[in-house]
Amino acid sequence: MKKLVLITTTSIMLSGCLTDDSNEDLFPSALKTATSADSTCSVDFDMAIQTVATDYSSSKVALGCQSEGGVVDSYYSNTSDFTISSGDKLYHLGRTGSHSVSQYDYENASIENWNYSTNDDALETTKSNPYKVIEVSASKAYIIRYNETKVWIIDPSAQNADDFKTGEIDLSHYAASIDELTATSVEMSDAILHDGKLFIAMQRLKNGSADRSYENGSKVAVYDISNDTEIDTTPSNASDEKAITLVGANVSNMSLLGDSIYIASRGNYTSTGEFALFGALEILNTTNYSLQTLVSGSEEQGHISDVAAIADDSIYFTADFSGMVNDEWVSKTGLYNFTGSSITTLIDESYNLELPEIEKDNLGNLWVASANPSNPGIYRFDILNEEANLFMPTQLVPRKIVFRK
Amino acid sequence: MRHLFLITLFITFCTQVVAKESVTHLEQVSIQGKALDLNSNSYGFFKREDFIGQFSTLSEFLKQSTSVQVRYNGVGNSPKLSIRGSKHDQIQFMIDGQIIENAQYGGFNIDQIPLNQIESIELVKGIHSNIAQQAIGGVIKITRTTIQKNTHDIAVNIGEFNNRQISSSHAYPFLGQVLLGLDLEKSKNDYNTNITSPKGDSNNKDQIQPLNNNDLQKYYGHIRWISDIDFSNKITISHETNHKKKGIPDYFSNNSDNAALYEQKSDKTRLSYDYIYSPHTQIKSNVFYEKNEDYYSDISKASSLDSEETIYKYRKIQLSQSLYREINNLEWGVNFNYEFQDYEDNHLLVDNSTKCTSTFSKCDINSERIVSRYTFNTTYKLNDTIELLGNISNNRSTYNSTQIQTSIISKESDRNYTQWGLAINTLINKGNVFRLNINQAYRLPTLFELYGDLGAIKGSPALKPEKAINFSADYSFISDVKLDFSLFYRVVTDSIIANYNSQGIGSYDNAQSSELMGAEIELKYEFSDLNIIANFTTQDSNTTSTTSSLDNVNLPGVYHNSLSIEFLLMLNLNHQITIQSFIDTGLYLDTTNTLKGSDRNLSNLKYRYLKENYSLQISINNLFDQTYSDQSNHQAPNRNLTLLTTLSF
Repeated sequence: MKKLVLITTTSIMLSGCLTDDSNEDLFPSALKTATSADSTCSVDFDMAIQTVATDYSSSKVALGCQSEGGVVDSYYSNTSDFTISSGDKLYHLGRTGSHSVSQYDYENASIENWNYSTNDDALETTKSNPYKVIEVSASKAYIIRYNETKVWIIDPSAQNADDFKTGEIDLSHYAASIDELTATSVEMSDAILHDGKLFIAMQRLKNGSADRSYENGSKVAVYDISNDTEIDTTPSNASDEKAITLVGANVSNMSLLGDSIYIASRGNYTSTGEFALFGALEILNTTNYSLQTLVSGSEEQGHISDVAAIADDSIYFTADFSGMVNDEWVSKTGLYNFTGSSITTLIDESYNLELPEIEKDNLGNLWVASANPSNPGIYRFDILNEEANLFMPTQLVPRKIVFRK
Repeated sequence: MRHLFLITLFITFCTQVVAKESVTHLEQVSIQGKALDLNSNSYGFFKREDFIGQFSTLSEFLKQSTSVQVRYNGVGNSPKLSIRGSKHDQIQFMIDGQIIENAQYGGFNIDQIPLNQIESIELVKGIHSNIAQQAIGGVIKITRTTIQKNTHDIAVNIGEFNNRQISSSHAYPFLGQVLLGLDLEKSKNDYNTNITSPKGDSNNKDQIQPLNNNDLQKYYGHIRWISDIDFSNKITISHETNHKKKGIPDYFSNNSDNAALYEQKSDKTRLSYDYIYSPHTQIKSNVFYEKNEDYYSDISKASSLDSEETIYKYRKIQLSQSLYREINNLEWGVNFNYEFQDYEDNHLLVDNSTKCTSTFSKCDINSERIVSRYTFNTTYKLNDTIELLGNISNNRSTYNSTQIQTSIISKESDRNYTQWGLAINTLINKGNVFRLNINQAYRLPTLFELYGDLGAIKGSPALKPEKAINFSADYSFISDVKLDFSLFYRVVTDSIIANYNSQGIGSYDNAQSSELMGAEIELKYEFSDLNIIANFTTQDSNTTSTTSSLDNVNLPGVYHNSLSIEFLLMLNLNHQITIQSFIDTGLYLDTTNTLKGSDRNLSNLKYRYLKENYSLQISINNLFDQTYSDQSNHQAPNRNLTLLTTLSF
């Protein structure tokens, strides 16, 4: 109830502001008044931020603590194309340049537990491009690999490379095709574990030709993690495919809340005209697999790029409005809250801020990465208490935030 | 320290060998005086005998020069130069007065002309009376060989990694002189290197393996006719063809199935007319045409996530007209240069119907640049000891780019800027020369920086050129010892840096300014049979930017401290031994200084035999088998042997 009152009050205040053309009124006070956090943690690390140089020449990982809001930068430095993932352990994934995964303990983060390749030695291609590790237990996890058709099943406690990979989930039946060509990847971009099931989002942008296609349709496949077999999400029709086809193209992120998965799909990168696809914010029921569109992207709403579901009336999402402004490419994002019945604006896109990531932590806070080149860092929003908002600067631009589960 | 001890021990040993070797007693001949070394830190003029038979490539020769750094990106690929901390594309490269520059991507391949085809090399940091052009980092001017009629030069270079090169120049009388030049080079370049995640055994990381698919094949041919009408009139017609094929290795997995390659073909034709009205008045006219076609293929995705097969075509037409006049103590010259370049690419694997339809779809483009340059340079001898130099040029350039499939034309962009330079040379007393130089120079944005690829790399048509002010003070002392000492300072504004968002969409911005300050010293000392050359450069850089990660950092890609020392031991008239050591430190690989590059500590040992028109040189490169990384952070070749022989007849 308290949350509802606060949000309603904020909405009313902001609604008054929405009619005002002044951008200053649409810039929430939370960003302006957020307190700068310490660059230390007196408690164990329980979160990590992947940061990248603006010209993609290098990257760093910063570690932090959710409760204090502290960040210690430059834990791991590397070339640019890395990302992070977290369960109880922290995973550092090398993408296009490295195709490998390293594991660390949060308590002893300076020591790498192991590093293993995510490439299939038997295959011609050697570019698996791992995106995420999803832990099931200390001895089982999944790695989704963007440039492949198979999810790896791994043992995170393996002591050597031979014991690392224990199985596969084959998604090649979802590879798109055109004419006689078939893609060799399904572009799996995210995955979520819930109630004994693994939900895998696939962009399916490639169809075997040399170009991307946004017409192939994004899908979510569901697997039973007890036996790694696919679940038919439409059991009444055994002849159709088992996965769920999304409304939005180019699925990018998923966020779990209760028994629902909120899914952001950004569409393509065209801003206007008949070829523009703006994506959607959808909700998937993990019990009956029903799908509903909550927000449709559009020229006014932007491309739906990310989602963080904190409460039923606090579904935060970002929309991308990047494009050419006065012959210059400007990256800009808006941050919104879908309350269940309406959309309120927290950060208007007219401020030309790039917000590459939003996430929810274990304490019910919303975290927002700001790629402002002159002052990059992450914001922690306490949706109940604006006074507790924090800003943590990082040396490089933050691209990914993960929390220990 | 250990290396220095070994070097000293070796020299002592050789000296003892020379002392003990029995010699044939010859009639004593006394030689009066010695050739003056007029080079300084700010200007170097190198004749053919300074490099023929001693170096394999131009870059290998130039890196001996003070404050010139050469960083390689794999054997056979275009090396990158830095002069006093500059970037490679901030250096102007000229061949026979022709400005060599790729308008689409910038830069040039310093090793495109075989060393055997070169008569002289000039290296200018600042301005000089011999050279009308100037650039932020400096100018490298190549003059092709002008060997005498009925003479022939042949050079053979054999090295490890199956490296074979044969180069020849021939001159024949024909209504003047006809010069023919040929160069053939083949190399497997299968040196051992660190492979991160080998194919077929990806968890056995960081294995040392011979590098696959790093082959190089190069064919070069050049014909030139120089007329023999009379003293006042000279017509030169030349044609050059160049064909290079280079494999692109997969440094990550060293996949043996990788067949990625880059192939370059170019043809250049030049017509020039020199009119010598008098020794004090000369007019030069040049017409130049160049056609290039490059082919890039990576079907097996060695370098990226997608298969690629693309053809790049570019042409260049250049006209230049210059007048040189000398009146008493005043020399002046005016030069007009007009240049048109166009570029076109064709992504062969992508259906034309899908090109340019979205941000990440491939897009074929056609872009053009037109540049007009007006230059005035002058040298005035105030008296016997003071010489003033001045240079001013106005450059106007126009750019545009078009999506071929959609015919959408990007906004046309114009640039108009003026470069200038002033210098004063002072002969303090016999053997002491002092020089001050100040100049302002620009680097034009490339077509790629202005317009991107009309796909994921967006254009920035309003991009400003990089601008620099250079200041240097040089002191040369010539006696038994030759000492050159310089202080230099450079401010660069509007540096062009790439900027990507989280989706991988990028553009170029004038995102940074920088200051660089440095000192360089070169010492040459000649004993009776031992020459020592030592040079040291130290430079400090700092950047300013509103992007916090690019602010207050060192410039990347530059070694901030370099020391080299060379001992040339002349055992007798026919036998020479050279020992070189290079120490380079203070390198950052990236713009944010997150990644520190490895220091370089290399030594080379060379033995040279000279006899009239024949020379043979055996070199052990990287003598102590040091492991170090090239500019792409790949392991460079370890110890290797090369054999270079030249013959003139």
